[in-house]
Amino acid sequence: MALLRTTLLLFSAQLRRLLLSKRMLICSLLCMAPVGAAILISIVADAHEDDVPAFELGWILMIQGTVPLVALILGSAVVAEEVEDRTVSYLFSRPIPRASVLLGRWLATVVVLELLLFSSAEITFLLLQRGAGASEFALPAGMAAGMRNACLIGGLVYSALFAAGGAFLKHPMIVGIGYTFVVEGFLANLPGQNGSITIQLHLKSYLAGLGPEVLARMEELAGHQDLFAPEHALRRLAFVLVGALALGCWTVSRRQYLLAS
Amino acid sequence: MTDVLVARELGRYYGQVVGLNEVSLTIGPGVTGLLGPNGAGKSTFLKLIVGEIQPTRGEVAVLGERPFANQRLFRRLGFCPQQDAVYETMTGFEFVAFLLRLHGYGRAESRERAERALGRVRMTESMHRRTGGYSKGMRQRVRIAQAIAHDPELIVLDEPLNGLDPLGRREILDLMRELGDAGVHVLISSHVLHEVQDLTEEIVLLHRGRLLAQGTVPEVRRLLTSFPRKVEIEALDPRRLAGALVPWEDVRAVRIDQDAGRVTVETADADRFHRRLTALAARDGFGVRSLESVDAGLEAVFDYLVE
Repeated sequence: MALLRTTLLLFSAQLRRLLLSKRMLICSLLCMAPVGAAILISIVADAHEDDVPAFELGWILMIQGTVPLVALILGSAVVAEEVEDRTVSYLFSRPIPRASVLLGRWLATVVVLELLLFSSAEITFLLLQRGAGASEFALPAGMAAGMRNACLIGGLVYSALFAAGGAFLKHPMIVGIGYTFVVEGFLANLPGQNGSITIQLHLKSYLAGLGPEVLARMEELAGHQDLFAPEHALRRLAFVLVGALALGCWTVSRRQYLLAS
Repeated sequence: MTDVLVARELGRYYGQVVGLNEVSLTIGPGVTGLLGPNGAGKSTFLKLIVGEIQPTRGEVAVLGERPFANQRLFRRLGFCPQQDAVYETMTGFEFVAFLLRLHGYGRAESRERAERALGRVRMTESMHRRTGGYSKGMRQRVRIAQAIAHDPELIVLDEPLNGLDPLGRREILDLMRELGDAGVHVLISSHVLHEVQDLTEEIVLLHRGRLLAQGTVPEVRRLLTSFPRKVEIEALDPRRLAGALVPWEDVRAVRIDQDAGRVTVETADADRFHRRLTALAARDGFGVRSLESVDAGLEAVFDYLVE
């Protein structure tokens, strides 16, 4: 009961703090970037009477770019912000389960993150779809919704992973950037099973479950990859999500945070 | 009455850096001042007490409890950290009320207690403004308010007078005195003795991570001045010089290093020893070349605090 109560208290306090933060402003701008890019691409394609490859661009702009980056900026700050601002002393000298600091603040982060990603994905895919028209590049039925869902699932898992990283790493942003670009950006696009440890491959597997047409598009995008069954991919993502949160809670409960005076 | 705090061989190292080293002490009820120059280990000691960090060695019990992540203890403890940090998007009132809610108080009681605590630190007029717009002194007052708002048995304050003007200092010291009179235990750190001396005679003196002295101010002063002091004398004839020094009543021990031409003397009265030695050297020679008080720093620390 104490865990639930303090989690909710910290959730509401963090939600307000986050909405008024610079971090929120940066993330909003980042989420507007794919929208801007989609508008620009549509204008250029119109001028050349070309069709926009909606799936490929949607994948790169949203799932491979915006989702992990925004999740990194918001997720890595879940615990690290309290430590950097040196306000964690107030929380850790209260009679509360320390894990609630991570859980409450992560929940607030997820609400903001998912709202940002939802809006960004909806507008971006709508613009790309219009640019693709009725050409072979257009997204198959249900694909835009599927990609939007992939963005939301990716946001959840990445944010939990980065929140856990922020609980036990001294420089979570630097490590997170390395992870995003090296592991998720590079490894996930190699053929074969190299990407099986990445979240990206699991999101691809989820999307491939939407139909053979999507699978074919994906193979065009990054060559043949050994994908998981969609249910299996979702189960593994859920496991990573819960595991990361559990690890983060365990770390916060035991770690000593040394604050600069 | 039970002890408020018991530390046994308490040590905390930050890698190769010693924050606190083998501190053993007992702090009783009432108001106690924790004194020491900057870097003496005061903040490390307080962080260990409030469970922010764990000891590298030894142990500490606060109100009979081990502090690290101890929720039972945190109900009875109020902590005002040294760092000038508050939630800047909240008002002073929201900040204190929010932390009270984490203590388990309901919304109405949290508001009532927050208002009362902020009133006690003279922040009633400004409590509905955002803390981001506060002066350093106002933030300090809000931080003190959050430490006292839940009526803790023990209040730990790390340099709480920093950033306050003279009037503010007086008001906060009066508040601490009031709390002490009401039976609350207060542990307050400072690097200026007279600030704490107005509040309590009971002090703990730390220096370079070690416990230097503990007791009332006159006791600590007496203790420091009566410490046997080591004096190193370089002389051409150290053996004969040592022979002349041994009968002096303030000389506790004499060690001769013939090869280095040095005599090390332990004296109970350094001032008198220096005067007599000067006269002796002028009268009888011995080829005294240099004279050095090895641990005169102890008094310097105390003098620094008194200044």
